[in-house]
Amino acid sequence: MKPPAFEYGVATSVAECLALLTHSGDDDRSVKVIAGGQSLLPLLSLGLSAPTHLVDINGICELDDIVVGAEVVTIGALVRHARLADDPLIAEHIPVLAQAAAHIGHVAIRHRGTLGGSLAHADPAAELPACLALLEAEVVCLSPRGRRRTPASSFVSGPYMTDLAEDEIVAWVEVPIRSGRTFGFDEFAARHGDYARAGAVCHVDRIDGVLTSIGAVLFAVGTRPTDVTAGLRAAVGTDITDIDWMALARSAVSDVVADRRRLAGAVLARALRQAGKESPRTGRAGTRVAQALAQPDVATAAPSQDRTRQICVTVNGSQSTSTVPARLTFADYLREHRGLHGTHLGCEQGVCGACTVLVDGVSMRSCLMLAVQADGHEVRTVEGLTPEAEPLHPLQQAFDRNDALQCGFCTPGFLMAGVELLRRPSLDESDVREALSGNLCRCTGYEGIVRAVLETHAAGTADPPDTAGPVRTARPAHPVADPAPSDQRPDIRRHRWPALLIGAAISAGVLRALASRRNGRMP
Amino acid sequence: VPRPPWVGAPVAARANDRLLRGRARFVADLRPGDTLHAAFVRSPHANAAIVAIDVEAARALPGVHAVLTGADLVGSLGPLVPPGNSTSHPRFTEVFHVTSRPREIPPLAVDRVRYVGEPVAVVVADDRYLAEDAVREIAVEYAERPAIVDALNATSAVWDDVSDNVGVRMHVAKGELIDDAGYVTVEGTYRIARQTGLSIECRGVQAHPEADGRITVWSSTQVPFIVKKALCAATGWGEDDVRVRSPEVGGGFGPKAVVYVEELVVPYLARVLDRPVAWIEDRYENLTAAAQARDNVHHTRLTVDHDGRIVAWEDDYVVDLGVYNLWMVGVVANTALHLLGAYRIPTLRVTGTGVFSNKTPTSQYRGAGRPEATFALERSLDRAARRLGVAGTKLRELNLLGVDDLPYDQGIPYRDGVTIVYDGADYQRVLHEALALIPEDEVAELRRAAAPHRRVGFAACTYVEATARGPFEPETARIALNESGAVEVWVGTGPSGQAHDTVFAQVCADTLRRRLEDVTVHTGDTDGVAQGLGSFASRSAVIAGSAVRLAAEDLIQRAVAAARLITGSATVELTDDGFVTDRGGLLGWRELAAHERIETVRSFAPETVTWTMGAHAAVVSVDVETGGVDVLRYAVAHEAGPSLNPRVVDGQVRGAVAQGIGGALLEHVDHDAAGQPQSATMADYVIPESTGVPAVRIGHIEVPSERNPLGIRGVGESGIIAGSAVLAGAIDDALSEFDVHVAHTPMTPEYVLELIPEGAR
Repeated sequence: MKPPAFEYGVATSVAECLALLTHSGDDDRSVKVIAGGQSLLPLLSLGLSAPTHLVDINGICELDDIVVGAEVVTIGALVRHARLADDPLIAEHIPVLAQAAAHIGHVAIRHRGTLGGSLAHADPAAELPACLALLEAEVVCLSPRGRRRTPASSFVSGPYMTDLAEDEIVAWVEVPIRSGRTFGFDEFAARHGDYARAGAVCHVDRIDGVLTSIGAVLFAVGTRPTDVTAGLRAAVGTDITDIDWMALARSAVSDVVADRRRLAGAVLARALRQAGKESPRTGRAGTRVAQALAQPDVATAAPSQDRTRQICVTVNGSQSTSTVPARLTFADYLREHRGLHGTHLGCEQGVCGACTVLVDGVSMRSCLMLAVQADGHEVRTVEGLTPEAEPLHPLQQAFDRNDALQCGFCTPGFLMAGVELLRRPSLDESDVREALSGNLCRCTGYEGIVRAVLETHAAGTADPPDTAGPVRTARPAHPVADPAPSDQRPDIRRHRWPALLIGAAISAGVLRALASRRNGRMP
Repeated sequence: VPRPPWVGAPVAARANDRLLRGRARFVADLRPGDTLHAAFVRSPHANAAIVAIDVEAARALPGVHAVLTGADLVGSLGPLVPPGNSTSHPRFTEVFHVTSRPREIPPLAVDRVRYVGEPVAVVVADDRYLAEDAVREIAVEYAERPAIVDALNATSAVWDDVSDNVGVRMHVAKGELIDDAGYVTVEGTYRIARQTGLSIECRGVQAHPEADGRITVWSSTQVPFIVKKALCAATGWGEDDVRVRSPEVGGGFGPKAVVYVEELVVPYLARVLDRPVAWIEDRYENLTAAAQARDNVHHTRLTVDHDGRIVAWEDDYVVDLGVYNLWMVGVVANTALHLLGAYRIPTLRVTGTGVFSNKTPTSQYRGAGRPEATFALERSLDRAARRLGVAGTKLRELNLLGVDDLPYDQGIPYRDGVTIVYDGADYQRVLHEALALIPEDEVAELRRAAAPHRRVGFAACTYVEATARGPFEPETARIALNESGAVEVWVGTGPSGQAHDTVFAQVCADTLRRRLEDVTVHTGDTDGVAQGLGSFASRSAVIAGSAVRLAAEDLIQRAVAAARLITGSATVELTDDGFVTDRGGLLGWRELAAHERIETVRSFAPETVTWTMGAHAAVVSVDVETGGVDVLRYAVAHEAGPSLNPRVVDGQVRGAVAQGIGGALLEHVDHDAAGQPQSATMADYVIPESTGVPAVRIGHIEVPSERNPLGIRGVGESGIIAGSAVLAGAIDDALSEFDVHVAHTPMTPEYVLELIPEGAR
């Protein structure tokens, strides 16, 4: 299914974004912000969300940064999940956030999905809103009316609902640094990378081995992150080594809905065990002062918004400029506008991975990107692995040797994900299986694919372009002065997502909603 | 240099190069510049009357070329009718007391819709985006009716002329039921969830009107010849006017071995508009409208004597066919026939009922009735073993057909009317081979090493698989020696990853004593041979491969005769280098071809099915706190024929095992009480990932078949058949301290957790 038409505008600064959000228009306007788009694009394609206007914020460089201050770590809304999982600053100061981020979807999803997007989308199964609540983070929202801080614990108000106003965006979050505190995280899903069926994040404080403070937030067990701290406090004052974590967890989850209660208890117990076992450590406080954005200039003119747009994309070294519909997916652009049919569409729902390509050297789902979002980027597709008349790339040769394909439809996606994997300095079988778990094959049983990647990695024969590091898409241009705080609070209203359930149980809502839409009713 | 024997050689698949380069052409990749795109309006209701359709707004949109409803097609495009090979042999019908009420399906719904996803109207536009815009503008007014999802307990009918919703019924009895106080009887209710093949490529059809007045239809299908027949029947077009071709097909697994209404509508639109028209199915359509499978409930009773010998086996099962199943008897019969199992079963009572419901239509999906039968029988054996206090493998050893029993005459006919005689050698040896692939001490070590919250379990199961039906479903091969001396082969099968072009080239090159690269194979083209069917039921290698062998042998005869004429030699011998005369002269293929063009055509149909038998063994680890199941080891041993290409055979087994694991642990097409599919995305219909399928250990025992010239047996479905049965057994074993008996698929964490008492660790 293809997205319906919309007007598309690009913001390169917060001011431009706010101008686009509030740009006067007719009453039927419905505006959505697109950041990573890993949830929004499936909704558009399934016809479950039909905004008249889309505001792309991927170009706002100052929102893509992590700054460590003396007391808080400030994380921009555009920081991608992959960076949260890998960034040494996060690993040092908020390791539990890195641990959680590694559980979000699959590699290609993590390359594109953002922290702010996860918060604003407010999927009940999402890891980050629960983690930020547990971490006592504050969400900083910007609007023409100023800056507003909200505790992460109350930011999400329900399934796909937040207290974000229509003229606001999530700008960054501030996470307090709590030295001496240990954390734990666990989630359970039937398959690797799936939406969790139950998840838990928790912290433990101790003095001389005696529990002094404890807290936990569950996700995927209710309509929003569920704080179960009250049920854990009975253990305060106990020697940590004496605590029966499973018994404690089970008592804390007694209010969780029946069909998730046992699972909630199990993951909470595992998270608690981790927190209890880890030794407290003290991160070094940062030297940079956390600085925030200037109050955006509300007088900034809104950038143009159009249903078509001229883009210039370099694919496999060949640059081309053309005018494309804003709603055209990047996969369809590659296939229909560039004639590169090797990028296959298996689901257009971001699940199968057949359409995986490298954007600026990083794997992404081309069905979960708009063509207009590839403007100015360098892309590599399967056709770019080796010239037509040349021998196969070493990974392609290994696929051939190891019978890593049968029907071959999923193969281009596996090759692109595999080529990215070859860059890793070390690789074992479980690494490969984990990293490729976002690519589905129905023919081979995966054995040959895994062997082919390991063999090629061991031989070290991948060509130079494949070993080049990723190019980051947006970097902060400048830290800016702290503006005067604003005490002006916007109206708190329900967030703009329809109450469909993409993480918890997508189809139940999807078909009803589709049925309603087809009959001219909105879900 | 001696020419290697190609048959049996581990040759890489020929398609690999183009597939790896991303330069293969699937149906969505074949677009002449002026191709129009179709999109369908589909029913959002499982059961409703169509009151009114307003298409005016859609017709008025820019870029829209046509909008047609079901009513518009009445009189000009006929219904989808059951294929010719959907009927059973009269002897089978008689012995199994078969009744069947096949359906004819209108190309677009008229007056009534019967499942969510049913096509109601079609739009043709400049591109798919515009076509979908127009679809959104079409207003359909429906009068909803209650959905029938539990067909046998429904108070209304899916089809007005089938008031009890029973589409198929069959019953077969063998031997006498005897009561004896010493016997042990176990009863069970076993459910196998509705599943779907879920090829990573969805379906797709493109039709191109040709300058000569013909029409070429490209479809992502396993059965181009059956598509052609259905299209001609619906349109009235002559068989000579239609060419159906399957391009590169991105996985089939059964749902692409049926014909769909889109395969009628799209060519019809291309003809009416006189433009190429394409329809590329999206995943939402695929998970609502492409055929699904399984969806069985079995009520079983197994009786064994005090030693564990099977005395009687009874199964009364219901197959939910959904709105329709073009083959009707097919899958229901497959289940009945495979309930015979690999054991000595003196007494049998089987009743199979196929019912209509307001769910997605069904078809065959890899295994097609065999996994269902195997689950019911093997679960019952495990239950009996538990009752007797013996190991499941011991009970199986006691009852398995051995070297003294085989060949084994079952005394009742297969669907082709021929009495079933298992043509195997020693099924007990196969079980032992599977057990040897996962040694006891390895399992013991895995049990020892398990984390405190995990339990490790082991099980082994067996199955039989009838492959390559005959004698009424032949395949044809045509072989031509072209001017340059190279050889071209055409077959009627439509592969989807089974490397037919490679394997049939191996057969042909070996027969002709040629180099492999001298032989080119063309598949999936109704212009290639006069008769064919397609790829399903583990038949292509056996039947089309044999046809290739026979046509190649004919070609040798013709070539030798021609060589005698050309050389004037009384005797001519075919060697690796060409034709050697009695005076020692040599005539090469190229020189021969310069004198004479030779083309041979042969069809082959086996006398009846040939049987593959196998055993699966598996080790699982169950997390008793979450219900999560990891498959740690998996082994398949089978008694099959010699491999034409061991890499292809192993690939078929490995891939099928992955699907078997999916069916066992994950896969479930769910419809709610209103008939709404609950699994319309790939995030909801979940299949195994790379983290969920272990390496598969494979043991081949070669027993040549005497029922085809190649001596081979089908293997396409072997790897999937015992998947649910063996993993259920392994979970039972892992959780033996809780005395559990897994009784349905999928064995999701939720289901497994229900079996475990709370607080276990």
